Amino acid sequence: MADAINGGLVEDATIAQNEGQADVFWLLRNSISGANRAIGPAMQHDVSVPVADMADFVIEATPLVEGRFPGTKAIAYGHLGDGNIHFHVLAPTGAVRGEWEWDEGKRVSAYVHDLVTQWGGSISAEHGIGQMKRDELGRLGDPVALAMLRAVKQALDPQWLLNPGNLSPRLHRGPQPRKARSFKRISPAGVGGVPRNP
Amino acid sequence: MLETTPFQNAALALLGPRGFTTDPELLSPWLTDWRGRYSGAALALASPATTDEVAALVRLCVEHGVPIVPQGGNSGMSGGATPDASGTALLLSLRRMNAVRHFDGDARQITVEAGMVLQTLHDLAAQHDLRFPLTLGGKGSATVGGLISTNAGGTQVLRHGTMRAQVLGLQAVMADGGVFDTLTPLKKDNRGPDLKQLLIGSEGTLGIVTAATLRLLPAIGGRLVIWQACPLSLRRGNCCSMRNVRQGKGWKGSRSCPPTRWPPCWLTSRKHARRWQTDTNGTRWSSWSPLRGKRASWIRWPKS
Repeated sequence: MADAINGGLVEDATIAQNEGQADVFWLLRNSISGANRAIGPAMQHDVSVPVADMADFVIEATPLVEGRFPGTKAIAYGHLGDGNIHFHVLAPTGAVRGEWEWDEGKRVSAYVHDLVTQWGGSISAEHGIGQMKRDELGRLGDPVALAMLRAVKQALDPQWLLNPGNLSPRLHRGPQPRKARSFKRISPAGVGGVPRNP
Repeated sequence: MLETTPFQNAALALLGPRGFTTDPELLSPWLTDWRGRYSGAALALASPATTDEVAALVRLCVEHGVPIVPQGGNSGMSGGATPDASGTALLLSLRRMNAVRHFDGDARQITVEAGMVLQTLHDLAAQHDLRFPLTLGGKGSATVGGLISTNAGGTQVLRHGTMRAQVLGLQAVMADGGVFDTLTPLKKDNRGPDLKQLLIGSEGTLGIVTAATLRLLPAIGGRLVIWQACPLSLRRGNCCSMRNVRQGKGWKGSRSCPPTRWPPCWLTSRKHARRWQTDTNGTRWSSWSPLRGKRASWIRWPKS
Protein backbone atom coordinates (compact mmCIF):
# COMPACT_ATOMS: atom_id res chain seq x y z
CA MET A 1 0.00 0.00 0.00
CA ALA A 2 2.78 2.38 0.95
CA ASP A 3 4.54 1.59 -2.30
CA ALA A 4 1.35 2.30 -4.18
CA ILE A 5 0.93 5.68 -2.51
CA ASN A 6 4.59 6.60 -2.98
CA GLY A 7 4.38 5.47 -6.55
CA GLY A 8 1.42 7.75 -7.15
CA LEU A 9 -0.97 4.93 -7.84
CA VAL A 10 -3.17 5.78 -4.87
CA GLU A 11 -3.85 9.29 -3.60
CA ASP A 12 -5.69 8.48 -0.43
CA ALA A 13 -6.83 5.32 1.27
CA THR A 14 -8.42 3.99 4.40
CA ILE A 15 -7.87 0.45 5.56
CA ALA A 16 -10.60 -1.30 7.50
CA GLN A 17 -9.29 -2.03 11.01
CA ASN A 18 -11.75 -4.80 11.69
CA GLU A 19 -14.46 -6.90 10.10
CA GLY A 20 -17.13 -4.39 11.11
CA GLN A 21 -15.41 -1.60 9.21
CA ALA A 22 -14.82 -3.90 6.28
CA ASP A 23 -18.53 -4.63 6.15
CA VAL A 24 -19.28 -0.90 6.27
CA PHE A 25 -17.04 -0.30 3.26
CA TRP A 26 -18.93 -2.93 1.31
CA LEU A 27 -22.23 -1.54 2.57
CA LEU A 28 -21.28 1.83 1.12
CA ARG A 29 -20.50 0.24 -2.21
CA ASN A 30 -23.64 -1.84 -2.24
CA SER A 31 -25.79 1.19 -1.40
CA ILE A 32 -25.01 3.12 -4.56
CA SER A 33 -27.88 1.58 -6.49
CA GLY A 34 -30.36 2.30 -3.71
CA ALA A 35 -28.99 5.82 -3.24
CA ASN A 36 -29.56 6.50 -6.92
CA ARG A 37 -33.08 5.18 -6.73
CA ALA A 38 -33.85 7.37 -3.73
CA ILE A 39 -33.03 10.49 -5.72
CA GLY A 40 -35.68 9.83 -8.34
CA PRO A 41 -36.42 7.96 -11.54
CA ALA A 42 -33.36 6.72 -13.39
CA MET A 43 -32.45 4.59 -16.35
CA GLN A 44 -29.90 1.96 -15.44
CA HIS A 45 -27.55 0.65 -18.06
CA ASP A 46 -25.56 -2.45 -17.38
CA VAL A 47 -22.97 -2.08 -20.12
CA SER A 48 -19.39 -3.04 -20.76
CA VAL A 49 -16.54 -1.67 -22.84
CA PRO A 50 -12.96 -2.90 -23.24
CA VAL A 51 -11.25 -2.62 -19.86
CA ALA A 52 -8.64 -0.14 -21.06
CA ASP A 53 -11.38 2.18 -22.34
CA MET A 54 -13.56 2.20 -19.24
CA ALA A 55 -12.64 5.56 -17.79
CA ASP A 56 -12.36 7.17 -21.21
CA PHE A 57 -15.86 6.00 -21.98
CA VAL A 58 -17.27 7.44 -18.78
CA ILE A 59 -15.44 10.73 -19.34
CA GLU A 60 -16.71 11.01 -22.90
CA ALA A 61 -20.21 9.67 -22.52
CA THR A 62 -21.23 11.62 -19.41
CA PRO A 63 -21.27 15.11 -21.00
CA LEU A 64 -22.69 13.70 -24.24
CA VAL A 65 -25.69 12.20 -22.49
CA GLU A 66 -26.20 15.16 -20.18
CA GLY A 67 -25.91 17.55 -23.09
CA ARG A 68 -28.38 15.72 -25.26
CA PHE A 69 -30.96 15.28 -22.52
CA PRO A 70 -30.88 18.51 -20.49
CA GLY A 71 -31.50 18.12 -16.80
CA THR A 72 -30.37 14.54 -16.63
CA LYS A 73 -27.36 13.52 -14.59
CA ALA A 74 -25.22 10.58 -15.49
CA ILE A 75 -23.67 8.55 -12.68
CA ALA A 76 -21.30 5.81 -13.64
CA TYR A 77 -20.01 3.26 -11.21
CA GLY A 78 -19.36 -0.40 -11.25
CA HIS A 79 -16.79 -3.07 -11.49
CA LEU A 80 -13.53 -1.39 -12.30
CA GLY A 81 -11.16 -3.83 -13.84
CA ASP A 82 -13.64 -6.06 -15.64
CA GLY A 83 -15.03 -3.52 -18.09
CA ASN A 84 -18.51 -3.51 -16.57
CA ILE A 85 -20.00 -0.06 -16.01
CA HIS A 86 -23.36 0.63 -14.43
CA PHE A 87 -24.16 3.79 -16.30
CA HIS A 88 -27.15 5.31 -14.54
CA VAL A 89 -28.90 8.36 -15.92
CA LEU A 90 -31.00 10.22 -13.37
CA ALA A 91 -34.13 11.93 -14.64
CA PRO A 92 -34.45 15.72 -14.53
CA THR A 93 -36.02 17.01 -11.31
CA GLY A 94 -39.78 16.84 -11.48
CA ALA A 95 -39.88 13.80 -13.75
CA VAL A 96 -42.69 11.43 -12.85
CA ARG A 97 -41.62 7.96 -11.78
CA GLY A 98 -43.24 5.34 -13.97
CA GLU A 99 -43.73 7.74 -16.88
CA TRP A 100 -40.32 9.24 -17.57
CA GLU A 101 -38.76 5.79 -17.88
CA TRP A 102 -41.03 4.83 -20.75
CA ASP A 103 -40.79 8.16 -22.53
CA GLU A 104 -37.54 10.11 -22.48
CA GLY A 105 -35.91 7.27 -20.57
CA LYS A 106 -36.28 5.01 -23.60
CA ARG A 107 -34.51 7.55 -25.78
CA VAL A 108 -31.77 7.96 -23.19
CA SER A 109 -31.23 4.20 -23.17
CA ALA A 110 -31.14 3.98 -26.94
CA TYR A 111 -28.54 6.76 -27.01
CA VAL A 112 -26.38 5.15 -24.32
CA HIS A 113 -26.56 1.83 -26.14
CA ASP A 114 -25.56 3.55 -29.37
CA LEU A 115 -22.51 5.01 -27.65
CA VAL A 116 -21.57 1.68 -26.10
CA THR A 117 -21.85 -0.04 -29.46
CA GLN A 118 -19.68 2.63 -31.07
CA TRP A 119 -17.04 1.90 -28.47
CA GLY A 120 -17.08 -1.79 -29.27
CA GLY A 121 -18.87 -2.62 -26.03
CA SER A 122 -21.85 -4.71 -25.02
CA ILE A 123 -25.33 -3.42 -24.15
CA SER A 124 -25.57 -6.13 -21.52
CA ALA A 125 -22.58 -6.88 -19.34
CA GLU A 126 -24.07 -9.08 -16.65
CA HIS A 127 -27.83 -8.55 -16.42
CA GLY A 128 -28.77 -10.32 -19.63
CA ILE A 129 -31.20 -9.39 -22.38
CA GLY A 130 -34.57 -10.69 -21.21
CA GLN A 131 -37.50 -8.72 -22.57
CA MET A 132 -35.97 -5.43 -21.49
CA LYS A 133 -33.17 -5.28 -24.07
CA ARG A 134 -34.64 -7.65 -26.62
CA ASP A 135 -35.41 -4.99 -29.19
CA GLU A 136 -32.16 -3.16 -28.52
CA LEU A 137 -30.22 -6.34 -29.23
CA GLY A 138 -32.13 -6.69 -32.48
CA ARG A 139 -31.35 -3.10 -33.38
CA LEU A 140 -27.67 -3.07 -32.47
CA GLY A 141 -26.60 -6.71 -32.54
CA ASP A 142 -24.28 -8.02 -35.21
CA PRO A 143 -26.48 -9.48 -37.99
CA VAL A 144 -24.26 -12.53 -38.32
CA ALA A 145 -24.41 -13.23 -34.59
CA LEU A 146 -28.18 -12.72 -34.54
CA ALA A 147 -28.59 -15.11 -37.45
CA MET A 148 -26.54 -17.72 -35.58
CA LEU A 149 -28.66 -17.18 -32.48
CA ARG A 150 -31.82 -17.72 -34.48
CA ALA A 151 -30.45 -20.78 -36.21
CA VAL A 152 -29.53 -22.39 -32.88
CA LYS A 153 -32.95 -21.54 -31.48
CA GLN A 154 -34.68 -22.97 -34.53
CA ALA A 155 -32.67 -26.17 -34.29
CA LEU A 156 -33.13 -26.76 -30.58
CA ASP A 157 -36.65 -25.43 -30.11
CA PRO A 158 -38.43 -25.67 -33.47
CA GLN A 159 -41.81 -24.75 -31.96
CA TRP A 160 -40.34 -21.66 -30.21
CA LEU A 161 -41.99 -22.67 -26.97
CA LEU A 162 -39.18 -21.98 -24.49
CA ASN A 163 -39.32 -18.55 -22.86
CA PRO A 164 -40.95 -16.78 -25.80
CA GLY A 165 -40.36 -13.08 -26.19
CA ASN A 166 -36.98 -13.16 -24.54
CA LEU A 167 -33.40 -12.73 -25.69
CA SER A 168 -33.81 -11.93 -29.36
CA PRO A 169 -36.53 -9.80 -30.91
CA ARG A 170 -37.51 -12.21 -33.61
CA LEU A 171 -36.82 -15.42 -31.78
CA HIS A 172 -40.35 -15.75 -30.49
CA ARG A 173 -41.94 -15.07 -33.85
CA GLY A 174 -39.98 -17.64 -35.76
CA PRO A 175 -38.02 -17.03 -38.91
CA GLN A 176 -39.27 -14.00 -40.76
CA PRO A 177 -39.74 -13.93 -44.52
CA ARG A 178 -37.14 -11.73 -46.10
CA LYS A 179 -38.39 -8.45 -47.40
CA ALA A 180 -37.60 -7.78 -51.02
CA ARG A 181 -35.20 -4.89 -51.14
CA SER A 182 -36.32 -1.91 -53.09
CA PHE A 183 -33.66 -0.03 -55.00
CA LYS A 184 -35.57 3.18 -54.64
CA ARG A 185 -35.61 3.18 -50.87
CA ILE A 186 -33.94 6.29 -49.58
CA SER A 187 -34.31 7.19 -45.93
CA PRO A 188 -36.16 10.43 -45.18
CA ALA A 189 -32.95 11.84 -43.81
CA GLY A 190 -31.24 11.34 -47.13
CA VAL A 191 -28.29 9.24 -48.12
CA GLY A 192 -25.47 8.78 -45.61
CA GLY A 193 -27.17 10.95 -43.05
CA VAL A 194 -26.80 14.05 -45.20
CA PRO A 195 -30.14 15.85 -45.32
CA ARG A 196 -31.68 16.18 -48.74
CA ASN A 197 -32.53 19.57 -50.07
CA PRO A 198 -36.01 20.58 -48.99
CA MET B 1 -64.05 -22.80 -10.54
CA LEU B 2 -63.04 -21.96 -14.06
CA GLU B 3 -63.30 -24.65 -16.66
CA THR B 4 -60.09 -26.58 -17.15
CA THR B 5 -58.44 -27.40 -20.41
CA PRO B 6 -57.21 -30.87 -21.39
CA PHE B 7 -53.66 -29.57 -20.93
CA GLN B 8 -54.37 -28.44 -17.38
CA ASN B 9 -55.96 -31.77 -16.50
CA ALA B 10 -53.03 -33.69 -17.90
CA ALA B 11 -50.48 -31.49 -16.15
CA LEU B 12 -52.34 -31.78 -12.85
CA ALA B 13 -52.41 -35.55 -13.21
CA LEU B 14 -48.67 -35.52 -13.92
CA LEU B 15 -47.49 -33.19 -11.17
CA GLY B 16 -50.17 -33.47 -8.50
CA PRO B 17 -51.69 -30.57 -6.58
CA ARG B 18 -48.33 -29.53 -5.06
CA GLY B 19 -46.73 -29.29 -8.45
CA PHE B 20 -49.47 -27.61 -10.43
CA THR B 21 -51.82 -24.78 -9.60
CA THR B 22 -54.00 -22.26 -11.38
CA ASP B 23 -54.82 -20.35 -8.18
CA PRO B 24 -54.39 -16.66 -9.05
CA GLU B 25 -53.29 -15.86 -5.50
CA LEU B 26 -50.42 -18.34 -5.68
CA LEU B 27 -49.49 -17.19 -9.17
CA SER B 28 -49.56 -13.45 -8.76
CA PRO B 29 -46.28 -12.93 -6.82
CA TRP B 30 -44.38 -14.60 -9.66
CA LEU B 31 -46.00 -12.72 -12.53
CA THR B 32 -44.21 -9.45 -11.82
CA ASP B 33 -40.44 -9.09 -11.78
CA TRP B 34 -38.91 -7.96 -8.50
CA ARG B 35 -38.22 -4.47 -9.76
CA GLY B 36 -41.88 -4.10 -10.63
CA ARG B 37 -41.16 -3.21 -14.24
CA TYR B 38 -42.70 -6.14 -16.05
CA SER B 39 -45.95 -7.88 -15.42
CA GLY B 40 -47.52 -10.74 -17.28
CA ALA B 41 -50.08 -13.48 -17.10
CA ALA B 42 -49.81 -17.26 -17.09
CA LEU B 43 -52.29 -20.06 -17.44
CA ALA B 44 -50.80 -21.95 -14.52
CA LEU B 45 -47.80 -22.37 -12.23
CA ALA B 46 -45.95 -25.67 -12.46
CA SER B 47 -43.45 -26.66 -9.76
CA PRO B 48 -42.05 -30.07 -10.67
CA ALA B 49 -39.97 -31.92 -8.10
CA THR B 50 -37.70 -33.99 -10.34
CA THR B 51 -35.95 -33.79 -13.68
CA ASP B 52 -38.20 -36.55 -14.99
CA GLU B 53 -41.25 -34.49 -14.12
CA VAL B 54 -39.79 -31.49 -15.95
CA ALA B 55 -39.11 -33.65 -19.00
CA ALA B 56 -42.62 -35.12 -18.99
CA LEU B 57 -44.10 -31.66 -18.56
CA VAL B 58 -42.12 -30.30 -21.50
CA ARG B 59 -43.34 -33.16 -23.68
CA LEU B 60 -46.88 -32.36 -22.59
CA CYS B 61 -46.39 -28.68 -23.46
CA VAL B 62 -45.02 -29.58 -26.89
CA GLU B 63 -48.03 -31.80 -27.48
CA HIS B 64 -50.46 -29.00 -26.62
CA GLY B 65 -48.37 -26.15 -28.01
CA VAL B 66 -48.09 -24.40 -24.65
CA PRO B 67 -45.17 -21.92 -24.27
CA ILE B 68 -43.00 -22.35 -21.18
CA VAL B 69 -41.46 -19.56 -19.11
CA PRO B 70 -38.86 -21.04 -16.72
CA GLN B 71 -38.29 -19.14 -13.49
CA GLY B 72 -35.79 -19.33 -10.64
CA GLY B 73 -35.73 -16.76 -7.85
CA ASN B 74 -37.48 -14.09 -9.93
CA SER B 75 -34.70 -11.67 -9.07
CA GLY B 76 -33.49 -11.04 -12.62
CA MET B 77 -32.75 -7.54 -13.86
CA SER B 78 -34.18 -7.70 -17.38
CA GLY B 79 -37.62 -9.29 -17.08
CA GLY B 80 -36.35 -12.57 -18.50
CA ALA B 81 -38.51 -14.70 -16.19
CA THR B 82 -41.76 -12.79 -16.58
CA PRO B 83 -44.33 -14.16 -19.05
CA ASP B 84 -46.01 -11.90 -21.58
CA ALA B 85 -49.52 -10.54 -21.09
CA SER B 86 -51.26 -13.06 -23.32
CA GLY B 87 -51.75 -15.57 -20.50
CA THR B 88 -51.04 -18.50 -22.79
CA ALA B 89 -47.73 -19.47 -21.22
CA LEU B 90 -47.04 -21.92 -18.43
CA LEU B 91 -44.87 -20.52 -15.64
CA LEU B 92 -42.36 -23.23 -14.73
CA SER B 93 -40.83 -22.71 -11.31
CA LEU B 94 -37.71 -24.71 -10.49
CA ARG B 95 -37.74 -23.62 -6.85
CA ARG B 96 -38.99 -26.95 -5.53
CA MET B 97 -35.95 -28.71 -6.97
CA ASN B 98 -33.41 -27.56 -4.39
CA ALA B 99 -31.62 -30.71 -3.24
CA VAL B 100 -27.90 -31.43 -3.07
CA ARG B 101 -27.30 -34.43 -5.29
CA HIS B 102 -23.63 -34.98 -4.65
CA PHE B 103 -20.82 -33.39 -2.71
CA ASP B 104 -17.14 -34.11 -3.16
CA GLY B 105 -14.98 -32.14 -0.76
CA ASP B 106 -11.70 -33.51 -2.09
CA ALA B 107 -12.49 -32.60 -5.67
CA ARG B 108 -14.13 -29.38 -4.41
CA GLN B 109 -17.26 -30.05 -6.40
CA ILE B 110 -20.92 -29.95 -5.55
CA THR B 111 -23.87 -31.10 -7.62
CA VAL B 112 -27.07 -29.26 -6.80
CA GLU B 113 -30.48 -28.91 -8.36
CA ALA B 114 -31.54 -25.77 -10.16
CA GLY B 115 -33.77 -24.39 -7.43
CA MET B 116 -31.07 -24.11 -4.79
CA VAL B 117 -30.80 -20.56 -3.52
CA LEU B 118 -27.33 -19.01 -3.77
CA GLN B 119 -27.23 -18.14 -0.06
CA THR B 120 -27.97 -21.78 0.82
CA LEU B 121 -25.13 -22.86 -1.43
CA HIS B 122 -22.78 -20.42 0.30
CA ASP B 123 -23.83 -21.77 3.70
CA LEU B 124 -23.38 -25.37 2.58
CA ALA B 125 -19.91 -24.68 1.26
CA ALA B 126 -18.96 -22.81 4.44
CA GLN B 127 -19.83 -25.89 6.52
CA HIS B 128 -17.02 -27.71 4.74
CA ASP B 129 -14.55 -24.84 4.97
CA LEU B 130 -15.10 -24.10 1.32
CA ARG B 131 -16.81 -21.32 -0.57
CA PHE B 132 -18.64 -20.81 -3.81
CA PRO B 133 -16.86 -17.99 -5.63
CA LEU B 134 -19.84 -16.08 -7.00
CA THR B 135 -21.96 -13.67 -5.05
CA LEU B 136 -24.35 -10.86 -5.86
CA GLY B 137 -26.97 -8.63 -4.28
CA GLY B 138 -29.87 -11.00 -4.83
CA LYS B 139 -28.18 -14.01 -3.26
CA GLY B 140 -31.07 -14.56 -0.86
CA SER B 141 -33.44 -15.37 -3.72
CA ALA B 142 -31.36 -16.04 -6.85
CA THR B 143 -31.22 -19.75 -7.71
CA VAL B 144 -28.46 -21.81 -9.27
CA GLY B 145 -30.61 -22.47 -12.34
CA GLY B 146 -31.28 -18.78 -12.84
CA LEU B 147 -27.63 -17.88 -12.31
CA ILE B 148 -26.64 -20.39 -14.99
CA SER B 149 -29.30 -19.49 -17.53
CA THR B 150 -28.38 -15.80 -17.21
CA ASN B 151 -24.63 -16.36 -16.81
CA ALA B 152 -24.74 -14.11 -13.75
CA GLY B 153 -21.81 -11.89 -12.79
CA GLY B 154 -21.56 -10.21 -9.41
CA THR B 155 -18.75 -8.85 -7.29
CA GLN B 156 -16.03 -11.44 -7.77
CA VAL B 157 -15.93 -11.74 -11.54
CA LEU B 158 -12.57 -10.03 -11.86
CA ARG B 159 -10.85 -12.82 -9.97
CA HIS B 160 -13.10 -15.85 -10.40
CA GLY B 161 -15.09 -15.27 -13.58
CA THR B 162 -18.82 -15.28 -14.24
CA MET B 163 -21.17 -18.18 -13.58
CA ARG B 164 -19.91 -19.83 -16.74
CA ALA B 165 -16.53 -20.34 -15.10
CA GLN B 166 -18.11 -22.06 -12.08
CA VAL B 167 -20.13 -24.64 -14.02
CA LEU B 168 -18.32 -27.94 -14.43
CA GLY B 169 -21.31 -30.01 -15.49
CA LEU B 170 -24.91 -29.43 -16.41
CA GLN B 171 -28.22 -31.19 -16.67
CA ALA B 172 -30.99 -29.63 -18.73
CA VAL B 173 -34.30 -30.60 -20.24
CA MET B 174 -34.38 -29.69 -23.90
CA ALA B 175 -37.40 -28.51 -25.88
CA ASP B 176 -38.19 -32.02 -27.14
CA GLY B 177 -38.26 -33.41 -23.60
CA GLY B 178 -34.84 -35.03 -23.88
CA VAL B 179 -32.45 -34.71 -20.95
CA PHE B 180 -28.99 -33.31 -21.68
CA ASP B 181 -26.74 -34.58 -18.92
CA THR B 182 -23.06 -33.81 -18.29
CA LEU B 183 -23.26 -33.73 -14.51
CA THR B 184 -20.19 -35.91 -14.10
CA PRO B 185 -17.53 -33.51 -15.23
CA LEU B 186 -14.52 -34.60 -17.19
CA LYS B 187 -11.44 -32.47 -16.87
CA LYS B 188 -10.58 -33.26 -20.46
CA ASP B 189 -13.30 -33.94 -22.99
CA ASN B 190 -12.82 -33.04 -26.63
CA ARG B 191 -15.78 -34.75 -28.18
CA GLY B 192 -16.55 -31.70 -30.26
CA PRO B 193 -17.79 -28.37 -28.93
CA ASP B 194 -18.70 -27.95 -25.27
CA LEU B 195 -22.46 -28.02 -25.69
CA LYS B 196 -23.31 -27.03 -22.15
CA GLN B 197 -21.92 -23.56 -22.89
CA LEU B 198 -24.81 -23.12 -25.30
CA LEU B 199 -27.26 -23.34 -22.42
CA ILE B 200 -25.33 -21.07 -20.08
CA GLY B 201 -26.62 -17.55 -20.68
CA SER B 202 -29.38 -18.60 -23.06
CA GLU B 203 -32.04 -17.30 -20.62
CA GLY B 204 -34.20 -20.39 -20.80
CA THR B 205 -34.74 -20.08 -24.55
CA LEU B 206 -32.81 -23.21 -25.52
CA GLY B 207 -33.38 -25.55 -22.60
CA ILE B 208 -34.37 -25.72 -18.94
CA VAL B 209 -31.48 -26.14 -16.50
CA THR B 210 -32.40 -28.70 -13.84
CA ALA B 211 -29.10 -29.39 -12.06
CA ALA B 212 -25.44 -28.46 -12.20
CA THR B 213 -22.06 -29.50 -10.87
CA LEU B 214 -20.25 -26.43 -9.56
CA ARG B 215 -16.70 -25.77 -8.48
CA LEU B 216 -15.86 -24.71 -4.94
CA LEU B 217 -12.81 -22.94 -3.55
CA PRO B 218 -11.13 -22.97 -0.14
CA ALA B 219 -12.72 -20.56 2.31
CA ILE B 220 -11.15 -17.13 2.66
CA GLY B 221 -8.62 -17.05 5.49
CA GLY B 222 -8.86 -13.35 6.07
CA ARG B 223 -9.60 -10.20 4.18
CA LEU B 224 -8.22 -6.72 3.90
CA VAL B 225 -10.68 -4.11 2.72
CA ILE B 226 -9.31 -0.80 1.53
CA TRP B 227 -11.26 2.29 0.52
CA GLN B 228 -9.08 4.28 -1.78
CA ALA B 229 -9.03 7.18 -4.14
CA CYS B 230 -6.91 6.61 -7.18
CA PRO B 231 -5.38 9.26 -9.38
CA LEU B 232 -6.35 9.77 -12.96
CA SER B 233 -3.79 7.31 -14.21
CA LEU B 234 -6.37 4.78 -13.09
CA ARG B 235 -8.08 5.26 -16.37
CA ARG B 236 -5.41 3.26 -18.08
CA GLY B 237 -6.02 0.39 -15.74
CA ASN B 238 -2.92 1.24 -13.75
CA CYS B 239 -4.48 1.01 -10.34
CA CYS B 240 -2.24 -1.01 -8.08
CA SER B 241 -5.00 -3.24 -6.86
CA MET B 242 -6.05 -4.01 -10.40
CA ARG B 243 -2.49 -4.84 -11.18
CA ASN B 244 -2.30 -7.17 -8.24
CA VAL B 245 -5.53 -8.86 -9.17
CA ARG B 246 -4.36 -9.39 -12.70
CA GLN B 247 -1.11 -10.81 -11.45
CA GLY B 248 -2.97 -13.10 -9.10
CA LYS B 249 -1.46 -11.73 -5.90
CA GLY B 250 -4.51 -12.74 -3.95
CA TRP B 251 -6.53 -9.56 -4.23
CA LYS B 252 -10.21 -10.13 -4.66
CA GLY B 253 -11.56 -6.61 -4.78
CA SER B 254 -13.42 -6.18 -7.99
CA ARG B 255 -15.49 -3.15 -7.36
CA SER B 256 -14.48 0.36 -7.64
CA CYS B 257 -15.69 3.60 -8.99
CA PRO B 258 -14.27 5.53 -11.91
CA PRO B 259 -12.96 8.85 -10.70
CA THR B 260 -15.06 11.02 -12.94
CA ARG B 261 -18.35 11.23 -11.17
CA TRP B 262 -18.68 10.00 -7.67
CA PRO B 263 -22.10 8.83 -6.61
CA PRO B 264 -23.87 10.73 -3.87
CA CYS B 265 -22.61 8.63 -1.02
CA TRP B 266 -19.04 9.18 -2.11
CA LEU B 267 -19.16 12.92 -2.29
CA THR B 268 -16.81 13.40 0.62
CA SER B 269 -13.95 11.84 -1.24
CA ARG B 270 -14.60 13.68 -4.44
CA LYS B 271 -11.85 16.18 -3.89
CA HIS B 272 -9.35 13.43 -4.31
CA ALA B 273 -10.73 12.44 -7.63
CA ARG B 274 -10.26 15.53 -9.67
CA ARG B 275 -7.49 17.69 -10.84
CA TRP B 276 -8.46 21.07 -12.04
CA GLN B 277 -7.24 23.64 -14.42
CA THR B 278 -8.67 27.10 -14.20
CA ASP B 279 -8.83 29.21 -17.32
CA THR B 280 -8.90 32.99 -17.51
CA ASN B 281 -12.66 33.12 -17.09
CA GLY B 282 -12.41 31.22 -13.87
CA THR B 283 -14.02 28.16 -15.38
CA ARG B 284 -12.62 24.96 -14.12
CA TRP B 285 -11.70 22.24 -16.54
CA SER B 286 -10.34 18.84 -16.17
CA SER B 287 -7.30 18.29 -18.25
CA TRP B 288 -7.34 14.74 -19.33
CA SER B 289 -5.74 13.68 -22.48
CA PRO B 290 -7.34 12.87 -25.79
CA LEU B 291 -9.26 9.80 -26.57
CA ARG B 292 -7.46 7.10 -28.47
CA GLY B 293 -5.90 9.30 -31.10
CA LYS B 294 -9.11 11.12 -31.85
CA ARG B 295 -9.65 14.82 -31.48
CA ALA B 296 -8.55 16.07 -28.08
CA SER B 297 -11.53 16.30 -25.83
CA TRP B 298 -11.72 18.89 -23.13
CA ILE B 299 -14.40 18.02 -20.73
CA ARG B 300 -16.19 20.79 -18.98
CA TRP B 301 -17.13 20.04 -15.44
CA PRO B 302 -20.05 21.59 -13.62
CA LYS B 303 -19.04 24.06 -10.94
CA SER B 304 -19.26 22.47 -7.56
